[in-house]
Amino acid sequence: MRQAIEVRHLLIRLGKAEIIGDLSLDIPQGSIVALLGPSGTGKTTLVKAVMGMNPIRSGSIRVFDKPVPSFAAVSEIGYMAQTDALYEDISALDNLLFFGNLSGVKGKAARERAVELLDFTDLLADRDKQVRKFSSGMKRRLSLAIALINDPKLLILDEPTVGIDPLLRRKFRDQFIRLKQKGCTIFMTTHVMDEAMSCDEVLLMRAGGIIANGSPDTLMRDSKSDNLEAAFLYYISLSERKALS
Amino acid sequence: MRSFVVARRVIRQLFKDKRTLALLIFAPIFVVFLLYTILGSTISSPKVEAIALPDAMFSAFQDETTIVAGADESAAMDDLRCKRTDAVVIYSEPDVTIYIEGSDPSITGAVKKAASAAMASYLKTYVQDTAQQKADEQKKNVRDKIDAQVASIQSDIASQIKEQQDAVQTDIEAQMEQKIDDMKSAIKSEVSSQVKKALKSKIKDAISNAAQKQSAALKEQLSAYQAGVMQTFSQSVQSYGALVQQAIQAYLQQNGIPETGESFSLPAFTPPQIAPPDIKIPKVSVSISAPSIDISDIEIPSISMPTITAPEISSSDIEVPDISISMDVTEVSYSYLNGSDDMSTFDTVAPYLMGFFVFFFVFIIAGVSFLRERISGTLDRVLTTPIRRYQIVMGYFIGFGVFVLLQTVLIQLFMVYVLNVAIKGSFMLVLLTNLLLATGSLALGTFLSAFARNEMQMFQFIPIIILPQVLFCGIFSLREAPLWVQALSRIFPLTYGAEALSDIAFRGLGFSDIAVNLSVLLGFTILFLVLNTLVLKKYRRL
Repeated sequence: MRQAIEVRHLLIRLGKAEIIGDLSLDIPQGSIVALLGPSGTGKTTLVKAVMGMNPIRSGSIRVFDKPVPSFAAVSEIGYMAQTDALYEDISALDNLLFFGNLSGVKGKAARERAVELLDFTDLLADRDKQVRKFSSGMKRRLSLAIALINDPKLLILDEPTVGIDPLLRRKFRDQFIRLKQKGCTIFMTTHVMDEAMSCDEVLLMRAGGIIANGSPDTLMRDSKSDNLEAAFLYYISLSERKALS
Repeated sequence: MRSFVVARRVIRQLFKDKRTLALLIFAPIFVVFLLYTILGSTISSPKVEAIALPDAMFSAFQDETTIVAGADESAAMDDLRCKRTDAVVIYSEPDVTIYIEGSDPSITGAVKKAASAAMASYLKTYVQDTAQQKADEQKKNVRDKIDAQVASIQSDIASQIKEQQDAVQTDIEAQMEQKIDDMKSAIKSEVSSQVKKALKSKIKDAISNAAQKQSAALKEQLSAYQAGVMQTFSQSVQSYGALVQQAIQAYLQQNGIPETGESFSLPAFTPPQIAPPDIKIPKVSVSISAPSIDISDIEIPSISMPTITAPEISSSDIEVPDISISMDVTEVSYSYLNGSDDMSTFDTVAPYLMGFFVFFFVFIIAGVSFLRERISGTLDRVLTTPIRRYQIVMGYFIGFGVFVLLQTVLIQLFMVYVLNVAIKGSFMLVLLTNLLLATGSLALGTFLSAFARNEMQMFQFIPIIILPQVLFCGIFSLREAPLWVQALSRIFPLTYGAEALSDIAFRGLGFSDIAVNLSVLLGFTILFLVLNTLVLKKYRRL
């Protein structure tokens, strides 16, 4: 299977602190992968590195076999950051059109795509409303819509469901599945176990490294846990034991 | 093209953000207007209390200030302390002391200005009056001198004339006398010749008459005398003849007849004694009656004696030129190569203010706006699209540029047409300078926003980046400032902008004169844009 993301021996330092050390991973195309780990383990740093927004000290990242950083790689990715990152003074449609235009989607195509996505995220009725007046859920949906405006093959979501209600979270999951069905690869960070459960694969991350990976079922089975949280704790103690020995 | 996408979004966003839009466009106008009302009003007539001021001085102050006469110095000083008045003017011969409250420089300035104007006008009158007085005195002096001179001349002339007249009189009299003498002698000779003539004939007649009578008488006597003499002589000759005969007879008797040559002596003849005739001349009386001489035809010349009147020299004829005192008090009048006397504080700082506000508001809004892109994550999001860093910078630059243009034009129109700030040079050139200043500020603001983590930190740049520029831009003269300050002022864009603005607005200079400044501003803009592009590398290594 072709890899959507290929990370090899990645080392990232921000200032003097080593955030990510010798990290390697593969995200297979067409899968939904969750990067699970507590806050401050370097999830966002890793994601940003894939986006080409963090300096790579050593190692390499490839997106659809294109080196990172490059415009070619960036063009394949739809990115949704932790923050909504919306222009609140302009309308939802204008936000979409703006990022669409920047991504090279232009004119009528851009508008059609924007309307399609607004429909997809259930915002069509509010398309001309100033984003300032949106609820946080609507903003989150719009943010997702923007991430999809360039019809990316890889969707990177940094904590997509932080601070949203269970109903919307359910809706998001449904949408991710629909995207996956269209052949989109989804790579998301989360610290919500529940969310990770619905993914094809989970990467357990701690202190700048991947301590375990596999499908939620495999991870739970291998750790003899009945939930992902317990499995996570198991792998943490395992990695600490490894480090000691 | 992506730059224009960014620019369009910036413009759309700003148009939706009414408050920021208002801040960008109306806040500068509002602040400028406030400054105009504050600085534009000059204290025209400061309140002054006068102590013991002479009338002339008081009225001079009256023209320049609102002055009241105070009686008591300490009360007046109290008024000043409580700011009921702006100044106390105390006269103590010969000095004037002006006490100023001093806490408000504009009042201090106004008082000083008014006082110096009042004193100048007072001194002018004083000097002029004194001079006039002196002149009048001088005039009187001259008049007196002239009068004396004239009097002396007059008496001089009078006496000379008198002398002259006397001399002439004497002369004339002498001449008269001479003439009369001449006349007299002429008359005399005339008269004597006539008389002589007349007498002569009379005398002739008388004399001939008398002579006839006398000659007749004489003839008679002489003939009688002749006859007598004749008789005597004839008797004597007879006697003598008888004697000679006797003598010849005697001799012949004796000597016979005498040979020749023998001396014979004749007897002596004794002539008869003849008595002179007693001639009696008959008395002839000549009576001559003098002829009457008519001298009426002899004219005595009439000599008219000229009367010489001494010219009347009135001293009033000699006009002492009116010494009207144009004894000009040197009056200092100010004439401006650029600007004018009635420029208010606002006018003098207006070009700088224009530059400053354009600079300041653009800096703040562009800086904060770009900062918000960083904070909100939209910049990150933009950077996840295949846009180049310079395109973002340029997009921002163009988008804000539109507002900057709008803002600059509005501020400038407002200042020039509403606040009547005089611009000596070209309006368009001021606009160009303001625009370059604004773009420089725009580039600087967006660039510096990279070094701020939040709005608060962005505002921290104001005292570090903005205030020094304001202080050094030329609002305050840096001529006497230390060299390092002058050097420092040269690294600030606002210095070049403000210099150019004042050059155009005050001095009316043209494009070529400020081309260097404009180039520097353009250079700053480009520099900051490039730096901003480089700084964005922090966000994306692409």
